[in-house]
Amino acid sequence: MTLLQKQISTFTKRSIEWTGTLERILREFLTTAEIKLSEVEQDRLYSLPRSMMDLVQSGVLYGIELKAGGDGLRIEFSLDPDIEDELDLSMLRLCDLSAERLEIELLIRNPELARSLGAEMLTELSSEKVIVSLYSVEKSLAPFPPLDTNGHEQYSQDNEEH
Amino acid sequence: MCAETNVKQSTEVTVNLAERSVTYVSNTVFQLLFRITHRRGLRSAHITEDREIIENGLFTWLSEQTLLRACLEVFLPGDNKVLEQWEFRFNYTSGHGDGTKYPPVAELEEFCARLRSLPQRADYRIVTQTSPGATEVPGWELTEFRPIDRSQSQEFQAWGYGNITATLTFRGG
Repeated sequence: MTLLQKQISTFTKRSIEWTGTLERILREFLTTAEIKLSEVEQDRLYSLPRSMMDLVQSGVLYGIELKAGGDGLRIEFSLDPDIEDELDLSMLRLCDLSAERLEIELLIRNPELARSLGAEMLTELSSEKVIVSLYSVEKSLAPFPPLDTNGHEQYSQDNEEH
Repeated sequence: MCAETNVKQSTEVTVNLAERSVTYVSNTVFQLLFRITHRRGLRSAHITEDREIIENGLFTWLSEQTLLRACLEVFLPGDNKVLEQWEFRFNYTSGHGDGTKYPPVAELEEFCARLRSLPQRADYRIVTQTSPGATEVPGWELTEFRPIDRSQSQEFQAWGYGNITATLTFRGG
């Protein structure tokens, strides 16, 4: 599996500029992967960048992975203002992106804060051909754990960092 | 001809840095506002719902260097006194500044962990003070800072980028 890695600076962009940048990346990925979405699925997908703004501005969004077939793209969102954007995605054409579905993984570095900002509602933007899921980078990229009845996270032993 | 080109490039670099500086500081204020509201058990919905208004205000006033301070005032509905005040102050310098300084996120988190919980009814608002001549920004209205019975204060490490430096001070009980 090949994961093309890129980096963009988030805190040097106003929200409208940030959402525009991410939307352009999503479009380019979809075009390269030749995944055909219905109008409803497209509307859902392209509402994702704007829906992510709380996570971006709170600094909890570490990055995003777009996967189709065997390969994909990882974009890390840097809070460093000196970072220049790497937006040349032409290498994607060399990846194996043959798939019917797009998998989007949002990489979160503070699940508790992310949850309070409604991060889990982003998974509701999933559709038949687009799967949105959340991963915690602080828990070795484990999926977001469910909450118990007291509102506490339930991590299995395997998901804990040692 | 050459000189003109150089001057133009130099101006572009300066404008770009100034704009990055404004955007960076504005976004770090949002970052800290989200951390504060989360750690203090306040609803972040005000910030989310009014994001555009807050962002337009910060961006406009930081750009014209008229924003002196922005405060998150925590109060009980119906009570004029402030329980807590989180004050951001802004400092403008000429030139390119001292490089990048990151916002005091970890320091803030540690400090918030030591504070007593706020009453469940506690609410908040964001109030700014600008210097004379500041552009009016839609969504913002004239008001006054609310009084506060200050029993403790805490100043956090300054941060900034380019020609803008910011500080955060907590005042409260």
